[in-house]
Amino acid sequence: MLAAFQDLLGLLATDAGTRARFADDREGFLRAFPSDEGDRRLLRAIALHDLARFADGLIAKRWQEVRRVVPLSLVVAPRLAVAYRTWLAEHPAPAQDTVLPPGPAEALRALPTLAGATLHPALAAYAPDLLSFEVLSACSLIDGAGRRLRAGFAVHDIVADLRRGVLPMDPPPVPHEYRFERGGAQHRRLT
Amino acid sequence: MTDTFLGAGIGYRRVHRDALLGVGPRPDVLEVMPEHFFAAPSDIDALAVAYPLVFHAVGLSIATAGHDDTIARARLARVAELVRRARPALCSDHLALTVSPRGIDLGHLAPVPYTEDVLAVVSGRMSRWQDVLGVPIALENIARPFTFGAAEMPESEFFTRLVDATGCGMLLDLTNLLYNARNFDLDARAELLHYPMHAVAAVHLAGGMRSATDGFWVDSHSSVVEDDSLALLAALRGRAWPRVLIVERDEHVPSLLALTAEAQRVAAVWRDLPP
Repeated sequence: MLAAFQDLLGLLATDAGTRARFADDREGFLRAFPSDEGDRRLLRAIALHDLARFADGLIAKRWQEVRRVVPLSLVVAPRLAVAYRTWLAEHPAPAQDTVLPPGPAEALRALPTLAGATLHPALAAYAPDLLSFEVLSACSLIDGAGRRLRAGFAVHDIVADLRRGVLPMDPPPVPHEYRFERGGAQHRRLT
Repeated sequence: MTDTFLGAGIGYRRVHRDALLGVGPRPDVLEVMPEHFFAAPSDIDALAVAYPLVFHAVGLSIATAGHDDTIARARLARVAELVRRARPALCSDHLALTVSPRGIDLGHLAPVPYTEDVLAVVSGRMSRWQDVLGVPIALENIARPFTFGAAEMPESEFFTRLVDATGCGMLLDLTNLLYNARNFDLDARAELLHYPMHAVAAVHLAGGMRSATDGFWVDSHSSVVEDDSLALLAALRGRAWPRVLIVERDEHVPSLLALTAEAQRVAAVWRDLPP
């Protein structure tokens, strides 16, 4: 019974749909939940506004950790925050055995989604490559695992510009391959 | 807990590493999150030589029912490896749920109801941790985002029974206690005296913020320790004998010099010295 109670608590904290059903009809929700009266008493006692604040706080904390991994991508794609928060609300993070800290681990998990969010005509064409570069290099610097990226642009030059405070406008496509390791990134131009 | 008092310290942040290992004012003790060293365990060696260390984990999720799967065991083994390497004076985590039994990683500390069922789970897990880690272990009271009402026992009673059952220590976070009291209409100073004072192995202090939206106090570790937390620390004198006092800061992290000065201010309060 305790495991079922905790699973429900986890869903209430991370799943907006479950939380909405709980808020709309708490007694009906609890009747459908396999629990004893003791568990139901505990769940009835949770203040809905406290639960909502907690859930919002979980998403905000995750994003704070992820955003530290992709500071340059946020310069060219500020709406990454919205894309991540929306996605996380529907895709709670699974526990995993990783040596990566929470931010890089979560950025790696979210990379396909976030890269998709940067594919937008209003954004710089290099935004998806820049995002992948930041995430993969950050992870490899920490865990030493080799990772590769085939990019359509000279991302290392774009990174250098952004770190100098210069926003590259329409750089020419120059395909590159990157290899990330603990010691840093190596690159070669593709012909 | 009557072991030697190690002093007042700070939470380790990588941004301070060079300064911590260089010359200049230093905290008495460092609290490190073992998770920060999972990728490169040898990075902890220099810190262990230079400072007395205490470990403070965040993701072992002691309260998760049935949470003895491969991932949980692997994380505990990683912590154990670091314990063998750095020999911390103490290892702590939170009395909380961070992973659900079905494997959702909440990413932060969720409260657990203080019930007999949870006490049994936490006591059993604590005994295992003590066997695996081989150093004193303490659990921290968290800042609770919500409560479960009258259906649970008081937090202080839960900790007292846990200590009695397992012999573990308590990491008493005075700021969490203060904020829980403010958020849920309790008297922090009165509550304080109900915790198992003899088991207090460490004390945490931090500065948080009050939500502009609804007035809820959040333990954000984003500012200096406020006077009300220090007053609770003064109230502990003569009642508890922690080995370390730790100032926590995760946001708006100041220089090592400023953080060390704050730890010294905490130490002065503890020793009843003029500020």
